[in-house]
Amino acid sequence: MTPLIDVVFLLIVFFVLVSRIVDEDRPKLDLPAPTPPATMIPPPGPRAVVSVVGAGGSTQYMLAGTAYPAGGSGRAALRAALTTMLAATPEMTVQIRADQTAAWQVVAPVLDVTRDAGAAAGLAGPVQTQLAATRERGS
Amino acid sequence: MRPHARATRRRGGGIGLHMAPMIDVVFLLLVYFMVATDFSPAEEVFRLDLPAAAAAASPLDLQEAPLRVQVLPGPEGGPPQVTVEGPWSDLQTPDELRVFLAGAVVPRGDLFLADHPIIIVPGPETPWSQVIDTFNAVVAGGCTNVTLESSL
Repeated sequence: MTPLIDVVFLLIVFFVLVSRIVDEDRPKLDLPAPTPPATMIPPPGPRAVVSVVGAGGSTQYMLAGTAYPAGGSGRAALRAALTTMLAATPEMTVQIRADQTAAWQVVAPVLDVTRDAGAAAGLAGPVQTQLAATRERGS
Repeated sequence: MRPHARATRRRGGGIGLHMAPMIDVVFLLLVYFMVATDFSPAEEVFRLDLPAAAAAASPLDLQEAPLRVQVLPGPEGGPPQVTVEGPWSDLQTPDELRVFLAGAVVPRGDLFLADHPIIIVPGPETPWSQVIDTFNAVVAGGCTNVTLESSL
């Protein structure tokens, strides 16, 4: 019995660690939930997720587990990180997640940064962008 | 039965099932999956293609005036204040906009093609949920070429 319990605990530790890694990519946010939803299931493929976290003066942008402050230097760093990712993977989709109470003035810079990063990465076409929303179960 | 005979049967007997440790493990797994399960609603997306900043318009492209939809914060808990530029000033909520577009876009209407450019222009203080409500209304109305004017 002891080896079995050892293996079970190993599995639990493994899954806990893996789920933490997944969470870092997608911080918990109260996303908008439009009704009736015209959203679509995100198609598979490489994706960079930019989350707008916090409100007011404490707003931060999260990309791949790294936080970027909402000020000018933070935006420049975010642009550089996105440019690097888009240059390496031009077909990558940028998904933007923001809390439903976030004001447009803190979300809009992410769109500007994404557009600029696409241009800096030398993409021929537009940056494939997605806006995340919640679909309530059953709707 | 004599005690000696009972002991003999136990030692050489059939396979025993240890229930208590098995239940321990089952409970461990149950607790793990309860903790790990994500009960939050599913995340889906709207597609938004951001035009390249330096993209020059081809002179061969047919230039169509985009439909601009302004979105200002509505009353607390209510819908946003929507204003459509042009002769459609009576449209004031995302629902009205959705119904209008559903009847105006080809094939159900003949006012706009499905890929007619629609630009949503939110005010700086407009909550993200109300921006998405308007975006959702335009997409639900049958439009496929929707973008957000992001430069404040």
